[in-house]
Amino acid sequence: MATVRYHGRLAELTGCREESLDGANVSKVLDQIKKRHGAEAGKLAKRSHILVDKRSAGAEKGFRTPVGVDSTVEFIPVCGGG
Amino acid sequence: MDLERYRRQVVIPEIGEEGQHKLAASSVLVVGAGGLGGPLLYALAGAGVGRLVVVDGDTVSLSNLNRQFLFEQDDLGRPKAEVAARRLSAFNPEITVEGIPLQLEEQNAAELLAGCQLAVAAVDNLPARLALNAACAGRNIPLINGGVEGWYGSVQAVEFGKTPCLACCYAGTDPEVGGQALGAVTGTVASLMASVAIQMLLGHNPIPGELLLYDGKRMALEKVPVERSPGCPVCGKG
Repeated sequence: MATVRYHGRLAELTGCREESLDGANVSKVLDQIKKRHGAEAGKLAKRSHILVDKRSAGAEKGFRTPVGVDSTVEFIPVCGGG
Repeated sequence: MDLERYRRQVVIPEIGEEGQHKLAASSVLVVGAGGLGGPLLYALAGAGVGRLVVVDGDTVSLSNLNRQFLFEQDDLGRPKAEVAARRLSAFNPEITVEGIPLQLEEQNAAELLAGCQLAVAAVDNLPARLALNAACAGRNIPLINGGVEGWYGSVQAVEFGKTPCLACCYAGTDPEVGGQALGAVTGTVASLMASVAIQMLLGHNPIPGELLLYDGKRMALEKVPVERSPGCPVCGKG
C-alpha cells in the first residue's frame, strides 16, 4: 500500500496527516480518499498539488501517474494567491 | 551607504559588512506588490537591497487594504507600482526603487529582468508566474515563488538546472481558484520569502529542492522534498 500524506485543510477533513491506501495510480488513490473520507475531501484532494515520489503528478501523467506499493503520495494545498 | 542604518543586521555573522555591501550591489525584480509583495518589499528595502524593480499592473482597490500594507485609503485607484516605489523610496532613500505599472507577460519578462540577479513571483496569477519562470530559466536567474490560500502558504526557491522549476510543479494545477487572503498569513509568507531572498543574494539557498509549507492554522512549517520533472518543457533534462 502507498503512503499518503495530507497537508493543510485536507488533513483536517481526513482527520489524519498520513495513512496507507491502495491504488495503482493517482486516480485510484483519489477514489479511495473519496470513499474513506467523503466527497468534500475527495474534491479537495483532486484540486491539490499532488506529488508522487517527490515529482509533481501534473508534470508526469496527471491522474494516470502510476503509484507503487512503496510510493509516497503528497497532497499539498495549491497556494496561488498573493 | 550609511552602515548605521544596518547596524543590527551587520552583526549577524552570515551578513557582516561584506554581505551588506553585497546586498547593496544587488538588483531584485519583484512581480506583484500586493499581499505578498508589500511586506516582502519592505523587508528587502529595509535590508538595503540596492535596486528593487517592482512590477504590478493593478491599481489599489478597497478589498486590497486588509493585507496590502504598502497602501493607504488615499491610494485607492492609484497604480500599485507607482505608490509602492514612492513609499519604499521614502522608507529607505539609500536604495533605488523602480515602479513599473505593467502586467508581466511572456513578451516583456526578459526586458523587466535586465540587470537583476534574483526574481520574486509574488503575483496572483499562474500565467505571470510561468512567464517569469521561463524568462528566468533562459537567463539562469534564480527565482523565489510564493503563494497563499486562506491559512496556508508555500514558498519555493528555484535554481535552474539544480532544483524543480515552477513548470515542474504547477503543471496540471489550477492555483487561482479560491482567492482567500488574510493579512496575517500573507505577511508571514512574505517574510519567509524575504528571508529566502536575502540568503540567496548572499549565496545560500536555504530550501533547495523543497517546498516550504506554512500552515497558519496549526502554526506549523514543513519542508516537502520535490524533484525536477524530466519531461518539464522549461527545465527538463530531455
